[in-house]
Amino acid sequence: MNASYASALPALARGLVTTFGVALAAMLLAVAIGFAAGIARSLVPRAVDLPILAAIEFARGIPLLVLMYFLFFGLPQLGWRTSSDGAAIAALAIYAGSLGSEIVRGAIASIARGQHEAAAALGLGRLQALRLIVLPQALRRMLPPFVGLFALIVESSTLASLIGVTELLQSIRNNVERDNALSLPLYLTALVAYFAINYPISLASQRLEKRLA
Amino acid sequence: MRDAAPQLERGFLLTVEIAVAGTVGASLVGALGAALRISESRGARFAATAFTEFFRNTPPLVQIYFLFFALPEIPGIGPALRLPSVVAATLGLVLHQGAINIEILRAGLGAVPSGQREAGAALGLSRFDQLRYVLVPQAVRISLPALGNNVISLFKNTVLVSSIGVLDLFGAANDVIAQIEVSAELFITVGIVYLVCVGLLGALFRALEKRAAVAR
Amino acid sequence: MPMLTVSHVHKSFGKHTVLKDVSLTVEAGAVCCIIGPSGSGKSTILRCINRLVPIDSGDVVVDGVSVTDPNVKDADLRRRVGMVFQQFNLFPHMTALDNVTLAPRKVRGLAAADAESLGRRLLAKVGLAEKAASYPSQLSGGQQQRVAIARALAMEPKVMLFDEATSALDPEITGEVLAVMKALVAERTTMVCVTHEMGFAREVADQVIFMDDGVIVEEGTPAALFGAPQMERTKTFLSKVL
Repeated sequence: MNASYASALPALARGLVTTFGVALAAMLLAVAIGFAAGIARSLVPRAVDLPILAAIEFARGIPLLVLMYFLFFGLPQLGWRTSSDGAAIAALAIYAGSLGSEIVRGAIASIARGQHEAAAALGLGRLQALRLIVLPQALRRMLPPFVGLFALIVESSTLASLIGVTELLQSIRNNVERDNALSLPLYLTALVAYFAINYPISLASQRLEKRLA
Repeated sequence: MRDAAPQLERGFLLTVEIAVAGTVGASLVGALGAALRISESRGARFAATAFTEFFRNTPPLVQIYFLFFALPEIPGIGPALRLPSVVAATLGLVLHQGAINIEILRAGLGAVPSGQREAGAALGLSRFDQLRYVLVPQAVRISLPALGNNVISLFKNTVLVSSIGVLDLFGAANDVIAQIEVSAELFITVGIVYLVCVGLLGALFRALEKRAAVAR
Repeated sequence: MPMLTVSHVHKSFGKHTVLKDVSLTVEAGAVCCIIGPSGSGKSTILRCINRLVPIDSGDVVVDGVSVTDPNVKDADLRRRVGMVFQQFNLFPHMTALDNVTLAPRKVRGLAAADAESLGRRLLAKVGLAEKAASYPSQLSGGQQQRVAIARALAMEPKVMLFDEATSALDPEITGEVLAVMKALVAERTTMVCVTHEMGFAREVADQVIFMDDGVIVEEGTPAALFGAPQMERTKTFLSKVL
């Protein structure tokens, strides 16, 4: 049994690499979307804000798996082909991006009114004030929740296994299917592996929060 | 797609049942775990912390798979642990979202001003009464937004049960698609159902938060 | 026998010694005011009296009951001692009446009806009968502190401790709280007040204690301490605050 467990490890390692690849790609996109939407929401008038808010509420309200399935299975129906990796990354990016926009918007809003007022009194335009005064301060407050967001993306990447992405969980499932006796050790390995990844990230987020807030 | 309606209805009912059972279970786990985390016994605190950190930092999908596929393979007691898919899936959600609740409540208790505990103690209230009448009610009010988010998370995570063959709304929808080719519209419909439910839950919790704010 | 005896109390938090060999006596019905700069240990000694802070050595005896006696339960001790805090510490999720009746019901075991009539009587006594159903967030600072006093009185304690009860209030509101405290003095309530209100101390105190850096520097009647302070440190402090 030990032999077959060991023989499964290379596949698991490859799966882990895919997990990180998917997670990192999704994270980069999510940060970009988050900043774009969060800053936009902080600047634009109500009328323009509402559609952005609607999009965010949509991305947060729909189960991630439904979104992934829609992008992978549903879009081709409407003529748009995507790879499973692409659909997974896109869905994760949309979901995490919506959370990211709230992080950005919340951090900007948490910078005291006095800063905005002082900037305005000096004659700075709203965009300038944002760029020079508010954002530099807000960035520090955004870091801990964004670190936490990455952990959430890694956790959610397991859903990609359900649309055929061969990330860590899928590698585990494949090997369990080959040899059912490996079920216990492999799923234990899965739990330990994800814990080993996410627990330090979670701790880092908490420590950053204490130091930066 | 009309013919699929009864199947989807049954699926939706199952989704709601799992969500309700899961929320109740997760609340119990959260309350018990938070109580243990502030216990005077170091052993209890350590056990509760270990449980919390492990189950909230591992993906719920992996937990569900473990409960369903790996538990029965434990040498000796394995066969006794062969759980029906619905049970394994709901349990997985209870453990994961329950661990998150423990963390939320722990943070909430920490956010109650220390003067409150002092005042309760000065009045002669026992530690249990201090928790029950002074600290926990305030901790829950403080934690309400996060607790509400967790309930919504759990509701959305019910879709994971379909991965082990449970026919919740999502599972039923996939089943229908396997038989008839109506992907895009069906997903959109199912998506809208989830969105509406999430919206209702959100409104419910915002109303609760308003009520709690008055009494604060 | 004095109502309150503090004997040679020492207290350290880690390396920081907060109380060094503090001793004082308060007779039944007397008012003792403790003054001094912040960090002098005034608030700590108050908390040692009702065991909110355990003492390292020495003893505190209240109404014949010793704080260091392991057989004395917290609840028994705290029934005898009422405390009013600088930050009020009212329970925000309960009405004023519920704040006042909670401990009588849960610690003294009063029936709900008895607790309610007691509560209403005490709220009327502090001038807030009509606010019984209000939440703390709906009350002004002065009103909250008066509810806090009623809450402490509801336990019918032998000694009332006031920890800078008016320091967190706007100057024009301190009057209403001091008035309630003076009414208690008139009723011969044994009181220990940590305070910055020198006028109040001069008017009602039987003894004034000046503490600095964890020790009692000087003690005397208001006339003696305020009028003719003996120690240099006392003179320096008084010259700054008077």
